[in-house]
Amino acid sequence: MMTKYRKTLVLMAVAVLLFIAGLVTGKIASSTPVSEHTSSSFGMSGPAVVLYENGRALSDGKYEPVALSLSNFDIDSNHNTMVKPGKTYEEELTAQNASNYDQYVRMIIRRYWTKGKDKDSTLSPKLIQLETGEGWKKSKKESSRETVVLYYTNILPAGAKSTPAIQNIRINNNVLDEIEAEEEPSGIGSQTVSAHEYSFDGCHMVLEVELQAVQTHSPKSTIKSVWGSDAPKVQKDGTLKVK
Amino acid sequence: MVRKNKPLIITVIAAVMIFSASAGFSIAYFSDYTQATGDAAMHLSGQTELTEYFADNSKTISVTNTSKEPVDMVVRIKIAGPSTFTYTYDQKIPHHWVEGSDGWWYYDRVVPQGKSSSDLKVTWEIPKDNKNENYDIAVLHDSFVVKIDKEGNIENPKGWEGPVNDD
Repeated sequence: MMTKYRKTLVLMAVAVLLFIAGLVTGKIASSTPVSEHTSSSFGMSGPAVVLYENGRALSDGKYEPVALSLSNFDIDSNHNTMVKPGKTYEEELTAQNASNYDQYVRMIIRRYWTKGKDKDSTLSPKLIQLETGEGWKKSKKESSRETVVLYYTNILPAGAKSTPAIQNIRINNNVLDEIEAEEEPSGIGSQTVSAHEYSFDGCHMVLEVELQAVQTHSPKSTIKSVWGSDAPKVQKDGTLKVK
Repeated sequence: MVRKNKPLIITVIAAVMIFSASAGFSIAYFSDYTQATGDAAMHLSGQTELTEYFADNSKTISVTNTSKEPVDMVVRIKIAGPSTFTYTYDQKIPHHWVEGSDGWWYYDRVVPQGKSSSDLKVTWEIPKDNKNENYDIAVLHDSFVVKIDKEGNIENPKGWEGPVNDD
């Protein structure tokens, strides 16, 4: 029969083993990269944050990227979406908190050009001009030529919609300045046809939008842990100040 | 009393240790995301074609936007003929062809795909001492894809005098 002393030792040993097991398990969990796509969706079965385009909800609830309609853009001869340089297209991208908890939200927009199947790096992404709306602030620290990171500076209450993060899109008309060298008209006989070859003819403008939301509880650690960002500073009134 | 309760105390300590070991790593943050993508083609392959009707020392000229894609064009034309001839120009009201000081005639509207400018008629008078000589009256024409600034105003192509207003 075990003496009391031995019982005590056994209990302590079990406790130590369990403690070590807890440490190890916890370490594995914390060192697993917090993928931007790892989410605890506010306890909901569908997305807790919804992207609206020109007043229409885009999310289908399955975490697959959906297509932007770009419904205010022009249409080409193949009934595909087309953009004309210099023209301003109304394109409102808005966030809605579809959960039961208050949220902080940010929108990450990646913009670039392609020609054929390949990315075209000769055209600057900055030629794709995005007009930001009120209530959103661009993080200069986190943004680049290609990537624009916008933070909604207020708490987005449960069920509420933000102001538009993006209001308009316009292609800088400098793309029309790049024309291939050509011969001067000969002047002999009438010049029946006039056509210039533009260097960036046939390029495609591409936008990739990701709308992200985090809880407002313990905001500093949440934002840092989930978004890996220290760009936004939480103010006393709960608003975000963005670097 | 401590001795009697030693097992209990150890159990409690063990429980606290287990909880504290795991608690710091198991707090979940509520977060979520959604994604969307969009793509738009940029067609810059604009083209215009000239139409001329010749009759009795005159030509009636117009320019048509024959672009394959819905690209708007700005156009201008210029008559190239003997310098000894006298040229007069005529067009119906409203007048959209505007003469520049550089000899080019500028159309003050954008010409959309599939559409044509209004007509510009040029009539020439041949000097008496040229009457029996052969001559050629050519029409030069030039066009560019319309360039719009931030305010929605049309910018003239480089080297163009104007006047494209489109108001």
